[in-house]
Amino acid sequence: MNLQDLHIKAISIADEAFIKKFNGKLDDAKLLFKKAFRFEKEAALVAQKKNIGEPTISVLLKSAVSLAINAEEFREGEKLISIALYGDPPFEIAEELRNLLEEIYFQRHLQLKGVTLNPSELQLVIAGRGIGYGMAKSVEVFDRINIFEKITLRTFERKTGKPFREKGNVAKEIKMNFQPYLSVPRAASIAFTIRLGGNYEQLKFSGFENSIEIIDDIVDNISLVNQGDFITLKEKIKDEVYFKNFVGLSKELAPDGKEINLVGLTITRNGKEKNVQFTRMRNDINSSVFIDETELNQNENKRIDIAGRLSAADEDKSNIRLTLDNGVKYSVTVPEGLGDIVKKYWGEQVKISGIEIKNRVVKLLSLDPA
Amino acid sequence: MTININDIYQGLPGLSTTSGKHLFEACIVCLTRQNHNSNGTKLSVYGDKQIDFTLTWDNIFDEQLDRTWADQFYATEHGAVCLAILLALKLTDYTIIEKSARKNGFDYWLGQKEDILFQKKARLEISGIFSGTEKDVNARYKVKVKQTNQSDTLNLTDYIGIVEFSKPIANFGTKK
Repeated sequence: MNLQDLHIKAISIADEAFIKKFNGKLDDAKLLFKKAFRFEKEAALVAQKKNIGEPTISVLLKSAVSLAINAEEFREGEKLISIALYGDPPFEIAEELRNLLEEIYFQRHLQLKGVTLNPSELQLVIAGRGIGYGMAKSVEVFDRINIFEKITLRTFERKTGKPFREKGNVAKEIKMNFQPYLSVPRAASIAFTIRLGGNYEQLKFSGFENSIEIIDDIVDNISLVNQGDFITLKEKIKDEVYFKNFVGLSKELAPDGKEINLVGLTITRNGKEKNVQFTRMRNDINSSVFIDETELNQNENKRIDIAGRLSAADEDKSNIRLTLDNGVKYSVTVPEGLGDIVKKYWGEQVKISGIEIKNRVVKLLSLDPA
Repeated sequence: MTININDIYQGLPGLSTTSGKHLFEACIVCLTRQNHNSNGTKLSVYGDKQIDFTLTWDNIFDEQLDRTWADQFYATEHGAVCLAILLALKLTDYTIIEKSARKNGFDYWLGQKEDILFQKKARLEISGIFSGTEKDVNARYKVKVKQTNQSDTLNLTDYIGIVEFSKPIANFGTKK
């Protein structure tokens, strides 16, 4: 087969593989990705050997690396990235190759490599531009740890049948039993072990196992957010307010694509590692998931995007205030379940998207740091 | 001018029927969820050229398709690829589609003849918005321009296609 034929064959198999993956047939997809990778790798190496020119060589190598990652042949991917970067790829392709390399290393960091996790523990790994090897911008790490703690406590409250707590503190016995404890960080991008509850024996709550069930629930649900499977997530979290809260908190945990590209969770069950890569960017976790689509369409002409400093206005009425740079103040109504997210940004510059229900009164749709 | 969306899987050079059908389904799901009519829906395109197209398609939408395409974000991205490719073939001189793999799908390249792979080809940067305003479309376009800025010096030509499904509208043009 010539170069063209090899590439066409690879892409045709990759087409099938992506469709299998989309349909949830992951084992079949992986086999096809392996097959596609072999053809694309050969095409890339032929192009390189014949010195066919750029961008052909680096595009084919990058394509082969992408297939290698999908086939979980990370070492093969690493080798091909090295070949591509040793050449003279266009800047843009080189950047994309570096991102793929970062992803391959993230896979390596997700592995526990000798660290033992007990069932009530999980490993949280964070990687991206804002994270060096074992060093990190503190805000990127602490924000996510805080969010993880919120997710844990909310998950516990939901699973024990408590109504959503809009205000007030977490019950003392819950906090004592399920508060996350943090290990010292490990250099692996940056990785922590998080344990739910201290070393003492946990209280038993009726109809409910313990930290293991909470961790399994969190990991499964984050995996669903990552896959964009909000229908299954809604079946698992039937209470609308808890659902909104979970999606909102997950959005805060998600990579921002700027400082953080990858967030990963690892647990061990029955002696095997289970990894969830949270790669869906926060911007791709759409506010429409927790907003009534009909309401959104009916108020299209009232959509508003504003930026300013956020402050608390009236917690009892779920209202916040946004003060624009020109001093104009907006009152912002926060839907039930999203209070946890809003509080994180008090006193900070934010961008708000919403529906202007009255003059300078906005119903919140989405909130992001400015 | 009419665009029949079925064309995406009916013999486009460089695009397999399997791949074309996948993109077609995504596009139909997005348009139907926005209550558009398969017998004729206006797509207003601006950017390098301002032109209104009429979209038509075989309405294959049913409950099963709805369930299969539960991830609206994924459907939007793939639906946008479908319309952006069809627009590229209408609005540019390119006739060939080439693909390279990326982590979650493919990059699409436009060419004039089957010469050396990816050489003298333009990469098509595509993004979709399921429900947004013209302002959202233009903001997304600007992000794509920034993302592709670095390619200037290396002769990678880029087309950018941002498709919005509620109106629907599209901003399509070369990176400037």
